Order: sequence, then structure tokens, then C-alpha cells
Amino acid sequence: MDKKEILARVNEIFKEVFDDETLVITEETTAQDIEDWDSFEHINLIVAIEQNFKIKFVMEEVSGMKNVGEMINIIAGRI
Amino acid sequence: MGTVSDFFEEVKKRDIQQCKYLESSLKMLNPEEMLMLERILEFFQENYCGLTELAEAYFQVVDNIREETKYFLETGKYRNSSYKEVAETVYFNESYMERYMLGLVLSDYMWTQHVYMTRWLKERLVKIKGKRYLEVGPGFGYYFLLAVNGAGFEEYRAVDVSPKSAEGTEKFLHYFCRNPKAKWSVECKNFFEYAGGI
Repeated sequence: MDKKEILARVNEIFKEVFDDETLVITEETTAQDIEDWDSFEHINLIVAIEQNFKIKFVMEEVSGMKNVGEMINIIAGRI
Repeated sequence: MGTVSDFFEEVKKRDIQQCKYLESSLKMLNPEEMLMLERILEFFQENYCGLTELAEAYFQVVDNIREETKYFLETGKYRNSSYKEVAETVYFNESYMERYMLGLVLSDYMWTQHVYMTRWLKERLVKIKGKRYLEVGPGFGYYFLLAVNGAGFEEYRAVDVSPKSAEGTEKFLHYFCRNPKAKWSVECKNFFEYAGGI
């Protein structure tokens, strides 16, 4: 699976977690761009991504992700 | 000596969700609260560690909450289910406990819910008078300080099972207490050992 495919799948997860079918993310998207993306929703996102891709993040990665691109890089390295 | 702004810069380097949250939560502090936060940061830097380490202490609290939230979402239960487990991993783990307490006091000014709780407590405390005030589990003494400075009791006592907590509360009160007539004490003890009453 290449990064483009990962991004598409992660976008679907974002839509579900934030309950917004119109949501479109890019690799540059950060928590500043999505109003409801707070610490708690971040954990919901992490759990959903872990379950979807069957991977595990370590806590340093969870708190250190600066944007969706970094999230995707970690996913790509795990699958 | 690092300030609140410097602390915020440390947070920004590490965690964008926290940065976003603190940008709005710090705006709710009134001038008196902001001054107290500056003084607490100064006190912690003089007595415990530098600003970078304080930011790490704050993140220990944040990351623990994230980890435990994640664990709960995944398993439907809490990780620790007995006093023995918590005592080993938290209360008697001195280096962990110190960082956790430093981070928790900072959260009292940085988290919206904690600011509201503190304001409510302060408003309540000035209306209460009585013989003895007892606080079980004062942490590093932040709420205990509010009571000693603001309430009208004859005697104030704090009891904590953690040696680090008891020590930290004493230090905090000695530094910040503005009520020279208040009779206060801190004891390191398991509250349930007071078999004969307090």
C-alpha cells in the first residue's frame, strides 16, 4: 500500500471519528485545521487507526505527530 | 528563570494538540491567576528543575491520561485495579510521583475544568469556618494552600500516603502561605491507619 492509499484510508477514518463526510485531509493537515481535533479525539483517532491498519503506535509517536503526513509515515513504516 | 510564555514554547515544540488547547485555555486566566502561575513556575524552577524538565513533568500527566484513556477505550477497564498496584507504580515511586505532582499543579492553571474547580473552591472556602480542616491526598498542596490562606478554621491538616507528596506539600505551604496565624501540618500516613480517629 503506498502513501496515497494510506492517506485515502486515513481520510475515511477522520470522517468517521469527526462525523463529517465532507472532511478532506492532506499530509499538511494539523490539529489546528480541524476544530474538534483535541486531545481526546486524538486518542479516538489513534485507536481507530490502530484497529484499521492492525498496528500499534508508541506514546511518543501519539503525542509527537505534527501533522497527518507524520502519521502516514509511521503507518507506512508499520504495514 | 523561564516564564509562562517560555513554558508555552516548550509545549509547542513537543505537542501540537496541547499547543492548540493551551492557546485558548490560558486566555481564560485572570491577572491574579496568571501571576500565581508565574510564581509557581518560578518556585518549581528554584526548587525542583528547569523549564524543559517542568514541561516534561506536565507531559507525563498529559501522556498518562492519554495512555489510560486509550487503554480504557481498548479494553473497557482501568489498568490498575488495586491499591497495591497504584501504590507500587505511583505513590511510592518517588521520581514518578514528583514529576506527576509538578505536572498536576501546572494543570490547575492550564486546564479549563481545573481553573473552574479552583475558582469554585476559593469562593466556597472563604465562607467556611470551623474547628478542623482535613485534606486527604493534597498532592503538592495546591488546594491545601487555598484552604490555609482563605478559610476560617482553627487548624488545618493534610494527610498523604506518598512521602513525596507530603514533602512537596510542606515546601509549597512554607513558600506560599500568606496566613502567618494559620496552624497547619502535613503528615505522611495512610488515612485508613487512623484507627482511633484523627
